[in-house]
Amino acid sequence: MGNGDNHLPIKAEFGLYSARFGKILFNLAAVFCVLSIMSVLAYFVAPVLILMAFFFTISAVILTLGLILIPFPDLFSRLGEFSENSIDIASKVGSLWLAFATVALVTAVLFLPIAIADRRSRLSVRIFVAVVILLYCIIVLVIGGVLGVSS
Amino acid sequence: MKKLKIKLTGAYDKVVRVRVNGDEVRFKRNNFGSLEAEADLQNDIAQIEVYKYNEIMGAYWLLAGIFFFIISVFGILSPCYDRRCIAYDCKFAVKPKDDIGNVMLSFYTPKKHETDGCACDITSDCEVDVHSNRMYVDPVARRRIKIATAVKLFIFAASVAATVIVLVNIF
Repeated sequence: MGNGDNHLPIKAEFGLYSARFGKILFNLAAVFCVLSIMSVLAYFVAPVLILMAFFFTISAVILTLGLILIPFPDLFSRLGEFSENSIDIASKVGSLWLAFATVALVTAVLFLPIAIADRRSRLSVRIFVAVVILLYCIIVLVIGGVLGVSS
Repeated sequence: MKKLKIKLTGAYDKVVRVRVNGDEVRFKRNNFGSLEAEADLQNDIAQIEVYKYNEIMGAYWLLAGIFFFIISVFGILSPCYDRRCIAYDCKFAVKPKDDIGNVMLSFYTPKKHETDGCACDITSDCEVDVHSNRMYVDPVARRRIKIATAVKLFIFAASVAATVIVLVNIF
């Protein structure tokens, strides 16, 4: 060892394998935990999630297009009408499957950084993702509660 | 019995290991992020070796790679291999002048695209004889990582193709 001969002793090799196995189990457990929490949340606040998903998506699209299309006021107002109609449709659909799809999409987006950045199973990435998911859940619950009370 | 206090700073990602007279030394991290350990010396002279374990250099590297690739859902849940494949070739003979000797090894961070270089600076109140002090990119590990990547891509493509064929047959 350390003199150009880098072959592993068998004990050390299996130690490294068990460490890798442990990290995989940990990642798997983290994924299942987050998915189960999101599923439970989706079950209880499904309509709000649908509404929010549509609202955020359409707002983002409108904002982007609006910035590009400011010189065309007629087109901008038409897009505004379209967004209002879409929100109405979304609130009427009220499908749990759509909520699950939204949650799956959000979860996939949130877990993408793990797949890309988790080169060495860094804890900071997991903490960051956990905080983002937690904030997302809190925002959903708070806005859902406010909307529920106001309606 | 003489003692040798060893301190490592800038140790590349905690994977550097040290042997004193053939026995591996267990380090503890201090408040400043450096690694510290104390070794009892049977002789007056301590032979210090610095080395690093790389998983890809094991006997069952390909089998283990395929196994972990499959159980980690095509590698999504598994940490990647160390693609830089840095290996250390450092040997020092240290002779403490007093009952307790101090050795500090300050490791350099391997630079990108650098394949060979000095591994660390040695600061000590002992007599130090440097036999070798080098870090280098291990070509065997590099080649194995490329082979493992190719095999994993092949398995992924074969799995996708098999899934598509099965689905087409079912529907």
